[in-house]
Amino acid sequence: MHIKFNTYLLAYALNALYRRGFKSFFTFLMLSFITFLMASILIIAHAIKYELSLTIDALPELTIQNLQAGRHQNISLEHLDTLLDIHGVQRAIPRVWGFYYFDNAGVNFSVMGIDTFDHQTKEHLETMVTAFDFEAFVATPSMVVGKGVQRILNENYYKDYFNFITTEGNFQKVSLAGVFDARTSLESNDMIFMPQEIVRNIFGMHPQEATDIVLRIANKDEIATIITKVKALYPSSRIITKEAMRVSYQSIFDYKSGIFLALFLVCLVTFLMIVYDRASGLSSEEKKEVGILKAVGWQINDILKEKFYEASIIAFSAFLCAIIAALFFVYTLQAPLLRDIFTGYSVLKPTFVLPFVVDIQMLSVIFFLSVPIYMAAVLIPSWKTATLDADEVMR
Amino acid sequence: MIHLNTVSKIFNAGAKNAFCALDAVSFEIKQGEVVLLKGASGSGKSTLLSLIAGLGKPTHGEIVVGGKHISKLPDHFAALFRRSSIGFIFQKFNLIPTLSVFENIIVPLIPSNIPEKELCSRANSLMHRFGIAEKRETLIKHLSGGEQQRVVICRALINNPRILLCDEPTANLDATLSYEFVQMMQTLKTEGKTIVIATHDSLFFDLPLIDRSIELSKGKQI
Amino acid sequence: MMLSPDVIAILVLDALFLLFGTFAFVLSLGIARHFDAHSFHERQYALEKKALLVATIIQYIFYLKLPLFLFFIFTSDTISNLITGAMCAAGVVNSVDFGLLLFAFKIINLYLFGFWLVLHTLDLKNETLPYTRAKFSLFVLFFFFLVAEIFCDFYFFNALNIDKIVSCCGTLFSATSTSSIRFIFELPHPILLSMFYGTFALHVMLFFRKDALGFLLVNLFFIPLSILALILFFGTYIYELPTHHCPFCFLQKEYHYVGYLIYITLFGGTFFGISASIMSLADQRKTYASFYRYSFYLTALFVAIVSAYPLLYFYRNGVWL
Ligand SMILES: Nc1ncnc2c1ncn2[C@@H]1O[C@H](COP(=O)(O)OP(=O)(O)O)[C@@H](O)[C@H]1O
Ligand SMILES: [Mg+2]
Repeated sequence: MHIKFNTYLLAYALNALYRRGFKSFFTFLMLSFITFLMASILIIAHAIKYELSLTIDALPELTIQNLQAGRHQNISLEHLDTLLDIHGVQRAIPRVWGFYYFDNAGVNFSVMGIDTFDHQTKEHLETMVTAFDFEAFVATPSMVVGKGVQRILNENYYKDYFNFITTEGNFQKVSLAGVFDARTSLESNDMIFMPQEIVRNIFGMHPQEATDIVLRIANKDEIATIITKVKALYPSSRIITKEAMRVSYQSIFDYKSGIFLALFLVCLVTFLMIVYDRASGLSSEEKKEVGILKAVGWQINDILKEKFYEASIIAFSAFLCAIIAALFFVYTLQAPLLRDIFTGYSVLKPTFVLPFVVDIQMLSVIFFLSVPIYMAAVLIPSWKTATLDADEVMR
Repeated sequence: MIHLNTVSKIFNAGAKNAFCALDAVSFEIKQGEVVLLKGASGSGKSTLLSLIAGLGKPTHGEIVVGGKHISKLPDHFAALFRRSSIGFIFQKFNLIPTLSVFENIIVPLIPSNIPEKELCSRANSLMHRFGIAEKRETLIKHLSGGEQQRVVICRALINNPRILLCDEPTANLDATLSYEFVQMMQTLKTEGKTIVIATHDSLFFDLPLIDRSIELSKGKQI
Repeated sequence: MMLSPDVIAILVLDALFLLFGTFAFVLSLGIARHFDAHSFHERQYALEKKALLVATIIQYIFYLKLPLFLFFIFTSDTISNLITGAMCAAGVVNSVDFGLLLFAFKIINLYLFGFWLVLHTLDLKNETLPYTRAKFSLFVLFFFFLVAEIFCDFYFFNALNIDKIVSCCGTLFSATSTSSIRFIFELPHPILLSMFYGTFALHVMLFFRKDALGFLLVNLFFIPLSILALILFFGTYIYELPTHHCPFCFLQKEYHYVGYLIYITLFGGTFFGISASIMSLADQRKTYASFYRYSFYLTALFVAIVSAYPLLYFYRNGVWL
């Protein structure tokens, strides 16, 4: 139980690593690299999760969707005033939005209606509403598009306007009033903003209908009662709480990073087999050294301890290097290649700066999946070395 | 001091290639004696020394060193015993070539974790005594044979052992260096160390240093 | 199944423990059966070497289990954000039937492995290796505890369901709950506190008298008593809420992670106390003063920390809760 720290032994271990120069360095490099990969993946996932939680915080507390036969349908606005009368509901905002499939380019645009007379659901959309005069857009149908949309339109020779095909088969000409920079994950590259009236026209929606209704609620404790009241008003509705969104997003992300972690573990196991193999195969020099040490009075435990120090030096230094390299890679270089793994899907669009978040829990995960596992790989080879017969040196 | 009672060592006992390296060897060495272990190459001298040091276990018989039943001692304690009581001088020096002179000398003390002051003073006084103090930081691989021999002696003495076991100590030395070695053993003898020298070098025969000889032939005592 | 990185880390290390543990188990069977310090047989030398391997494996598992246990609690706390109704690890642990069992296993196993290592050190102090057979027979037994814990771990994370609504600690640890621990709330505070401080006084007294058997019993009794006192009395002062009895919530950031300090001092103190007593009982010649001392310091620190909360509360507000 008495694990006294022995500085001579540490110095000896350092020296032993140094003497085995290339072999040690190779192990260190491999372990660093693999830990670096894992750390990068985890840090990216963590940062995105954090960004997501910020995004979700900005969402309304409740979203009411109309369901028919289990599918999402437009919701009628007849109860809008009743909704507002429910105690605790600050605002009820109908949203008009959808996806427009652009056949020529084979892409989907997200089309978002802006209610020119009402407050916006998300605070940062308000800056855009003030930057552009959406009220004027109603008279001369106009839109503001993301950079990606603009590129695609240009490629298809639409410079100043675009012809949407409405559900009735007519053209709805909308001129291009401006382009915005996607700064957060919400204002994405593929988005188009235009007045709600035009969106309704394109999608053939009734003026008394919306895609969904979002509710702003002042006091979180009242959510449960509000939900029951909304249910009574719209019996066929599905009510999504912010909390539920948060949980499902978080589990999606945990799941995704979990899968990559599992893949990564396969790499790790392969690497450890190499380590095991290398640590097991001793040169005659090394065998002789063990013999000498035993002959001059080292116990098997002392040799085991020395091997443990060696492994700790490698594992901890590799761990530290990997963490530093991963932080640099993710935050300074913005994780080229790797971040696409997470952002390439439709859940999020890949145009935002990863927020800097490092916490103990994440560092612990990286630690537990690198240092002890490396130690495990060298445990049995170390024991084999330490129990070699000492009379090797006598011959 | 050292007491052997019908000690036998059979390598690979029970197997086809079983080999009897020592056959019922019995003798006693008293404290302060210098004993010569003679015998041709392959007669079992090294095997005997490693049994006395507790590096191996006899197949039969009993070895008692300084009142301790070495042959019954588990490895863990045999090592402690070596650390406290045995100094080893090997034929091929068996130094660690990539460590410096100083580092090689202190190797036996590393596990004991003694204070740095004491460690340095012990090592320095030994290096002065055997005239290698100025080579303190030199790597072993850059030393001559005679210098390496002195380092080996320093390493064997750093734990202040009561018993010195020498296995063919002069095999890699020329005549003058061998003579020098004998001189050093002479002074150690006056300090009261018990010394066992295993060799087939005729230089040692009939030296005044040697109190007694034990001869081995094909594992048997003659 | 939760597949978040932290859960994967725990499960991977569990798998490693299972692998190494099984290996050590098989070796232990041989050692427990055939080890004989007086034998000259080749097999005996091989067994001595294997005994060292098993000891190394057990040390590896133990020293990794210590931080991993803290990490497990930390992770459970994080998961409580995901599970509806759970406010802290208590809710998460209770969301599966055997959650508390798992917790108990984790703590007991730490004690067991710790004792094993103490026995091991003791064994290596004597040239006849008097406890070798005993210690490997014990490991054969402990191995089943380890396996049970690992399987509980696995089923625990497998059974965790983020869609299920669980009770929070507020209902789990309350006098009105229907849970099986309700009866303990009927224990009046004065009796509880006099038992708590009385046991501590006894602890101090036996520490100075170095009475091994008494010290052992006091330490064994002190663990459940302290946990009870934490739930019933001290916890409420940490939260400054007379109705909040949870022994997990104070592990959280809001309470400056003080729970980690509380439990480390409690478990550490009793561990050293029990070890010291067992060692002195086994080997009458020595007193193992350092272990007695560690036990005393840690336990005193524990008592000081938990006592500070009600005292400070009284100092600031002039009333008790
Ligand atoms: N580990 C071993 N296994 C089998 N035979 C051995 C072993 N060690 C030594 N021997 C044999 O034992 C005999 C005695 O060896 P040794 O003691 O080294 O002789 P010496 O030192 O007198 O030259 C030699 O024939 C050698 O081959
Ligand atoms: Mg020889």
